[in-house]
Amino acid sequence: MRKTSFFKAACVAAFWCCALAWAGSAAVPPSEGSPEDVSIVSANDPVQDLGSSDVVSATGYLPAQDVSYTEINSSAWEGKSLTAADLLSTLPGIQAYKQGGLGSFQSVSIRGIAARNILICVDGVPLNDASGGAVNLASIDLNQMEKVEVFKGNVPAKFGVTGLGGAVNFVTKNAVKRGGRVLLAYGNHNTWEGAFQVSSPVTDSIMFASSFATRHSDNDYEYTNRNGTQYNDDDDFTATRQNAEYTDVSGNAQFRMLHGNGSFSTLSVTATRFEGGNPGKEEQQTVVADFVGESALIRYGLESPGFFDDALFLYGGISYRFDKNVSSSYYPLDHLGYSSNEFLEYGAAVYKLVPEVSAEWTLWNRLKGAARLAAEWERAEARGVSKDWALDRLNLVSSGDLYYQLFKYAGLGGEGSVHFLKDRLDEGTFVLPTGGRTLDEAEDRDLTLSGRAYTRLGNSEIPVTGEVSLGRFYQQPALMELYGTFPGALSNPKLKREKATKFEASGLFKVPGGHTSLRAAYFESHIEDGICWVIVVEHLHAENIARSRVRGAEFELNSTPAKFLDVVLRATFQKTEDRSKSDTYNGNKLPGEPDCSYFAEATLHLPLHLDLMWASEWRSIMYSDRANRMDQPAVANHRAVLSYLPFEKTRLAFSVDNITDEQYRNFYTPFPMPGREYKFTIIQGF
Amino acid sequence: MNKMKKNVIASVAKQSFAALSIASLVFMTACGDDSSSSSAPEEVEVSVAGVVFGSDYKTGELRWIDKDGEISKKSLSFHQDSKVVTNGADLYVLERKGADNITKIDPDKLESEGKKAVVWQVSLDDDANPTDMAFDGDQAWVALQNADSLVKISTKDGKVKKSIKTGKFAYEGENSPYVADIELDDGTLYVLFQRYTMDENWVTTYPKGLLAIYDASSGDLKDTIQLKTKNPSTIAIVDGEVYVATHGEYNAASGTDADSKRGIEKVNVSKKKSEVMISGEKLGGGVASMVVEDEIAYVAINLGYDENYAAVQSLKKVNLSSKKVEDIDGFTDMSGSMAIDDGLLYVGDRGASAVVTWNGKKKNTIKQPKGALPPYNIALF
Repeated sequence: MRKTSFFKAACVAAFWCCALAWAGSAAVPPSEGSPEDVSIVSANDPVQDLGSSDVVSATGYLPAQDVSYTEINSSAWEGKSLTAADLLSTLPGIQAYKQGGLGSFQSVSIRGIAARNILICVDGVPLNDASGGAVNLASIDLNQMEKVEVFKGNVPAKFGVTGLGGAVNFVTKNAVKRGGRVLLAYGNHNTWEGAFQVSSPVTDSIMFASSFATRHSDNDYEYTNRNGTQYNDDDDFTATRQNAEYTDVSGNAQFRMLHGNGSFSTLSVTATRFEGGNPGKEEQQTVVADFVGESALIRYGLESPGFFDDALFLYGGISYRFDKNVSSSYYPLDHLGYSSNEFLEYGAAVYKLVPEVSAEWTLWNRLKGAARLAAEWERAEARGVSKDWALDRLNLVSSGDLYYQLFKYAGLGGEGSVHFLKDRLDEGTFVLPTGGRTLDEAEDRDLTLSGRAYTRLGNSEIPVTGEVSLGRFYQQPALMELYGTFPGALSNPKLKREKATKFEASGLFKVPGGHTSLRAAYFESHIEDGICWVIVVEHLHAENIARSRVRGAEFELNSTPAKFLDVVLRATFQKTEDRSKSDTYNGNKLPGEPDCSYFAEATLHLPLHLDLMWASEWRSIMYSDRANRMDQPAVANHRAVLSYLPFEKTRLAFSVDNITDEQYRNFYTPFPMPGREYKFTIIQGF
Repeated sequence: MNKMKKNVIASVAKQSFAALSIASLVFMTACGDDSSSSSAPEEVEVSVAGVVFGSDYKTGELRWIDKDGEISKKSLSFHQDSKVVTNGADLYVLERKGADNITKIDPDKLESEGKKAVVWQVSLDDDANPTDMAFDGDQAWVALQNADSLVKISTKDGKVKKSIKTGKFAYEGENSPYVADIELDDGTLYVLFQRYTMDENWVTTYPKGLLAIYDASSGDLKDTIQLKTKNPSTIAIVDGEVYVATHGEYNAASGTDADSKRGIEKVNVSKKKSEVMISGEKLGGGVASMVVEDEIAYVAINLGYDENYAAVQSLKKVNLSSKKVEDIDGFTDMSGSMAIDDGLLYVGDRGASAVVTWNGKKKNTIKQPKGALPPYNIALF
C-alpha cells in the first residue's frame, strides 16, 4: 500500500522554513533606517492586507464599494457555532449544502453557480479536491482565519480570472501585531475547539507569527431513523448517530522579513490533518468506515517597495501545496459499496507547485492596473489499494485588469486571462476504469480566453455608487474528472470546457448620516456545457450536459439605527432553470437552489459589556437532484449568542444554534442533521 | 388482462470494474421485466395495464399504464434502484441494494389514492438486495442477490415465513452465490446462481453458472445442475422445459462476443444436464435480457456501450422450439427492460427515455408526461 510520509514532509517543510527565515535574517541585517515596529511598515504595504488579531465583538461584515465583494472578519463567526459554509450562506446569493454535523461534507453555491465551479483559496492558493469535485469546506477551521474575502461575480485577476463562479479566499491570521490570543470552546455532543495564535518580533526586521487550532465532535446526536421505509411509519425508531466522530488539527507558522532595500519577504508553512468516521446514511449506519485528509502548504513571497513614487509594486512568490484524501471501509461491517471481504482503502494525493509574479501600477491617478503570470504544475497519484496511476497537469495563466477613471463619477474597467493547459498521462499510457480503454496520451485542451468588462459609477463622495459588468468565462474540467479512477466513478477524457456568460448590475446607497447602507444587485448567468456528475451503470460519470440560466436579485441592508443596535437584513430572489435538452430535466430548478432566502441579524449592545445577537434565516424549498424529486423542505433556522466582555481582552460567548431544533431531511437523502446545538466559548487576548 | 406471462430476464456476471457496473445495469434491466414468476393466484381484473418504474439513478418513480395506454401523470417515489413484480392482481416493488424493502401495492388504488395504495412495506436486512419474487399461493419466495439466503414471505403482511440458506453455493471467499433469477413451476423452485467473485480492484472471476432446484413448499434442496456457460441471466420454463439464457464474459468493449461461450441453454432436469441450444454465435452475442411468452422469446443482446455509456444492444426474436432466430430492426436499447403480453412487446428504451411497443409489425411509443424519468423496468398485469 502506498503511503505519503506526511509528517516527514511537514518536518522537512518546517526545517526549510526555519532555514530560509534564518538565511533571510542573516542575509539582510537590519538597516539603520528600519522601523522598530513591523506594524508601522505594514500600514504602508500596498500588496497584502495582513489583517489583525484583536478580540472584537462588532459586526463582522465590512461594507465595500463593490457590491459583489464582501469581506468578513473573525468577529462574524467567533463564538457563534458557525462553520465556513454556514458563515458564507448568511450572505445574499449564497446557498449552503451540509450533510450533517461538524466535519461532514459542506459546500456552497454562489448566485446559482454550482459549488464545483467556485474557487476556494486559502491565502490565495487554490484548494485541491482530490476527487475533482467541490472543495469540502468542512475541513476549513475558521479559528485559523483572520478574514474571508468573497467575490461573488468573478474570480479576480489576482486569482487568475478563470472559472465560472466566484471566489472565496480565506486569509489566515498572520504576522501583524505583537501579541496573541487563546480560544477555547465546548458544546454538546462533546464538541470542543481550541485555538492559539501568537505574533512576536524576532529581530528588528523579522516578525514571527504562529497559530494552532483543533476541533472535535462526537456527533452522536439522536435522530428519527425511518428504517428506510417511507410508506411504513410503524417501524420508525429513535437512533443515535454512530461512527461520526470528527477531529482536525491545523497549524501555521509565518515569518515576515523586512529587507534592506525596503522589500518584504514572507515565508509561511501551513499543515492540516482531519479524520472522521463516514457514518453512512440514516438507515445504514457504518461501523469502521472513515476518511482522512492531510494537506500542507509552503509559501514564499517577495514584495517590492514602491517604484516611481509608488506607481509600481512588484510581487514574486512560489507555493507548494500537498493534499491527500483517503477513504476506507470494510463491507461486512459497513455495507458501503460493493460486496467485498477486503478492507478497502482508496483515494488520491495531489501536489501543486505554483511560481508566480505580479505587478500593480497606478498611472496618472486615473489609470490603474495589475497583471499576474503564474505557472501551475499539478500531479495527482493514487493512494490506497487501487491500481497505480499518476496524472500531470501544467497550467500557464496570464491575467490582468485595467481600470480607467473617465471622469469624476464614472470609469471603465476590464479584466481578462489567457489560460494554457497541458495534461500528461503517467508513462504515456493510461488505463481507464471502463473495461479496457487505454489512452496513449491526454486530450489536447483548447486555449482559454476569459474576460469581463465593467463600468463603475459614482465615487465615495456621493451616496450612490454602482457597477455594471458583462463577462464571458470558461473553466476547464478537473484532472480527476477527465482521467480519475475512483471506485464508483467513471472518468471522461472527452469532457469539454464549461462556458458562462454573466451579467451583473449592482448599486450601493449610503444613507446620509453614515448609519445605514443599502446594497442591491441583479445577476444573470447563462451556462453552457456545464459538467454534471450523473450516475450511469451504477457509477458516477462526468458529462457536459448541463445548460442552465440563472436570474436573480440580492438585497442587503446594514444599519446602526442607534448606538446600541446593529441590524443586517439580506434577501435573495432567484430563478434557476435547467435548459438541457432532456425532457426529464428541462425546465426544472437547478439542484440546491431555492427561489428565495432571507437573513436577518440584530445585535444589541447592552449595559455591563453584554452583547446579544439574534439571527434568523429562512429559505424556500429546493431540490437535491436535477429531476426535482428530492425535495428539501423550506426551513427556518434561528440562532442566538450572548457575549460578555469582562475585560478588554477577554470575551465569553454562549451560543444556541438551530433553536427550534429543525431536522429537515428528504427521505432519499437521509443524512441526519443535528438538532439544537449549544456552545460556550472563551477568547483571551494577550 | 392475462397474467403469469413467462417474462423472464437476465442478469450477468462481471469481469472488471466497468464490467461490474455494466453487469449491474444489465441485471437490473433484465430483472425489471420479470413481471411475475410462477404459480398464479386467481385471475383478477386490474384497472391498470401495467406499471413502469423510472429511474435516473438518483431517484426512482412508479407510474402506471392506464387503460388508454398512456403513462400516468401521477407517480409514487421509490429508491432509484427498484424492480416491479406482479402476480396478476397485486404489485410488488422491490427496492434493491441500499434500500432493501418490499412494498405491496393495490394497483386499483394507485390513480385515486396515491400512496394510500400501499398495502404494506417491510424492510429486509441491510444490503439483502431483493431481486425477484416467485409466488406460491398466498406466499412468495424472494431472491436476495447479496445475501446468503432466500426467504419466503407472506403476501398478506410481508412477514418472513421460511428461509433457505444458499451460502454453500458461494464462490471462494464470497458470502453470497449471487442469485440472478428464480422461477416457480409445479411446486418446484428453480434458482439461478451467477457465483462470481471480485478482488479489490473490481476484477471479477466466475465459474460456470449453477441451477439449484428446491421443493417450493418445504424449501428442501432437490438437486443442482451446473450450466455449460458462465454468467447466467434468465431462467424461463415453458411447458415444463427449462431454459437458461447466459451472458458470458465481457469483451474489452464491455460488450460480448458472438461465440459459443454464451447463449440459451436447455436444461434436462431428469438427466442433470444442460446443453447450449442456441449459441451466442447465432444470437450475435450474450443475452442481456430475455422475455418469453409461450415458445417465443425476445432477447436483448449486449453489444457494448457507447462513449456516453448508453447501452448498445440488438433485439432478436427466438423460437425456442424451432431454434429459429430473427432480427428485429429499429431497437438498439432495451436497457429499460422488456415485458410481453399477448404478443405485444414492451421495451424500455432508456436512451430515448420512452416505452416503445412492438406488435410484430410496427413500433409505437407510449405517451408519457413531460418530466417522467427514463424507464428502468416494466411489469404487466
